[in-house]
Amino acid sequence: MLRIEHLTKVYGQKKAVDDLSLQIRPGEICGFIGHNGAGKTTTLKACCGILQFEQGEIYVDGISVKENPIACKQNLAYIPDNPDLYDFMTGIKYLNFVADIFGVGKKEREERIHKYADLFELTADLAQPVSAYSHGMKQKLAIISALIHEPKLIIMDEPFVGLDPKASHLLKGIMRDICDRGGAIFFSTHVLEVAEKLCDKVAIIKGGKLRRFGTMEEVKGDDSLEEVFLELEEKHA
Amino acid sequence: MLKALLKKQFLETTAFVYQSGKEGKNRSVGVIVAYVFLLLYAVVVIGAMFFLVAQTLCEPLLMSGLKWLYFALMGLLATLLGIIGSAFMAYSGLYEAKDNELLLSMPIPPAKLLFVRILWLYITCLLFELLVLAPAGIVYIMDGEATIVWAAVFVMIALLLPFLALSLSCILGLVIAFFATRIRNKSLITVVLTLAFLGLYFYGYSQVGNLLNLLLKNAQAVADTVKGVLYPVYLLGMASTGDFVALIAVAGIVIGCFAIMYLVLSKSFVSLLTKKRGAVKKAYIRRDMKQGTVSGALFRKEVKRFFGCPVYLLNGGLGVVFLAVALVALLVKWNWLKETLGQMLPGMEGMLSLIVCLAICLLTSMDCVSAPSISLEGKNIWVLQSLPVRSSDVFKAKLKLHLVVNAVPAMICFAVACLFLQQGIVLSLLEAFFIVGFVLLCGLSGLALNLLSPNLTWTNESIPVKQGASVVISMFGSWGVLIGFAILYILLGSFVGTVWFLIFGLIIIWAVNGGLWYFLCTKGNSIWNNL
Repeated sequence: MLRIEHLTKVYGQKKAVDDLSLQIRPGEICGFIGHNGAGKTTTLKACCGILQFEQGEIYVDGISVKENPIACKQNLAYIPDNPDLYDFMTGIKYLNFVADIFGVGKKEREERIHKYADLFELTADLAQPVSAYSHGMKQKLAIISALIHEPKLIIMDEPFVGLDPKASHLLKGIMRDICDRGGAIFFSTHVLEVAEKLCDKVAIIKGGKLRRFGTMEEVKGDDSLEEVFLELEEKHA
Repeated sequence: MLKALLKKQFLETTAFVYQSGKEGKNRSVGVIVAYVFLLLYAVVVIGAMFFLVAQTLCEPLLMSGLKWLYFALMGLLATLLGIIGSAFMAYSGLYEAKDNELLLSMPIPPAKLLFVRILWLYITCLLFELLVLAPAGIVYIMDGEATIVWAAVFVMIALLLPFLALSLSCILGLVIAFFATRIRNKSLITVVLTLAFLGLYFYGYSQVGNLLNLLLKNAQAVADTVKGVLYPVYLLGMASTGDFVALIAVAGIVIGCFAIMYLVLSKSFVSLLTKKRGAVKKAYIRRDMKQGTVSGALFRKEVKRFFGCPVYLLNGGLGVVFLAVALVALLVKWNWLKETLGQMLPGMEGMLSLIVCLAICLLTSMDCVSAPSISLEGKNIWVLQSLPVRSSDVFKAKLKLHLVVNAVPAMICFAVACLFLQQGIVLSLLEAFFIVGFVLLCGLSGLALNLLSPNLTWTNESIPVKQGASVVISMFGSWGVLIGFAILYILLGSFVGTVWFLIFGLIIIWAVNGGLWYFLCTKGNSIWNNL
């Protein structure tokens, strides 16, 4: 579903991402972990066509992000770490805006918006302007907007930050459900316990380079993910 | 503690001089000096304005034995300016200060916090009032009536009066805070109130000479009315002349008003700051949803932003207000306009049609709708960049808004003008295409300029809307284009004729428009992707 080949992104003199390659198949949840400034957000943004990159290739469902970004974006959804949404719209107007862009039909959007808004307990606030939302409510709205068009791939940057425990639990269930239906998820997190429990695959990045990538078992073996991560941090310090 | 709070307040108030609102970085020494000079210049200009008013009033009133009326009027003007200058500061500094919660969480007694905020407002009121009182005093001294006793009393009045403006500002600020948290369509109301204020200001400014003359002609009648109906104002005037009894009475009234306001505020200060009323929550009602097109969704988004941001609406729609005024002027005063233009440009009556066309273009060029539109995406830019939309679709939506806001009212105005001009269909059509082409040129160039100089890190919408390079260049550039066309017509018009001149102008404008659109679709696309 997502194939990254030798991705390199340079900011001035600094290589934010250096020759990174990985692959996520349909049905897989891949956790992306690394310290602050390791290159996680840069990689995620490059995958969804927000950031241009100098070298390498990224394919979403076999389509090149470089050559056909619009077709790639049609198949994916992105949730940033800080959901800055349109403050001048109400929640429902924002969701309808996203649904219009993705060409979601009338019946489907009604069904999905109400389903997810009810699940995340946001229905009562849909008529409020986004400016009146708390961080958690904005995060929920961003998640619902990402689910409206049933994307094949969801890319999420720290999706659990700001969510209450119930919403976090719900999101984990939804993530699993999407992958069970053939979708794929690539998300970054600092909560290693969540990554350990939820992910089929894990990628550890440090200084822009991919240090470890594979199934959870391959990466951590008999240790905990935390031990592996800290060991890698010390090794490449 | 008090010293620390006062220092914080001072740094906060003066931050705009040494810190860039755009980047949040400290300005260079040269820029700070320039800012200080600019401030001084503004003080001198405003002071000079009130000096002229004082000069007009002082001598005649003194000669009529109405010295007190002179001081009463200047005192009222000072109080009015103090209220205007500090009411919004009272709202933002007292009730809506960003650091209220932070300071309340610290071991600072709320009374001290209130004291510092009020003291700062008092200083603000005093500075505004001095802009009127200082010229009033200087003129009085120049007229040779001043004594040492009068000077001492006048200084006391200058120190007392801000308490009155301060009390009224605090109440006004409270009213603004009350409505700001409750009303819907805040943007529209802000725009209407701003336009009403601007209208009143310009009307007042244009009538000030007549008003002063009227006042001086009927000075005795005005004095009798004030004495009878507005006795405290009479006392204020008398106090300023050196009447100690009146001074004590004025001090009592002013300090009494302030004490009541301070008492009420100190009782409710903490609850005012911590009570989050919020707007009335609108219930969500499930309705049938509609599926729209991509272009429709993008356009609706632009419309919502335009009407949702008062600064954007005001700056992007001011030309429309002027167009409406022009339309009324055309309907009501066409003959007068025609005659005046004929007198201003003798022998060029044939140009009238082109002058109307260029004037409409000039009014539309005041609406910078597309020029800040890329910057206004700000932190939200990831939304459009992550969605499956082409950059050209985004640009089209922004241009469409620019065209709807400008070209539609411009065409209505031009259609009415055509009725009065009674010109041929060919000339009318050419001019209509010229206006639409010019509006599109402003839109395209504004968009292209904003792509080349975007500011996505603003903290307040007014920064890209009012201070953006693209806005300034686009507006002055479009005026330059119009001036260029006017000069060209003066030089070539008599040789080629208006119709051929317009055809020539249309070819240039539409060719440039084509070039700009090509730039947006090629280089612009790549810039957009890298923002």
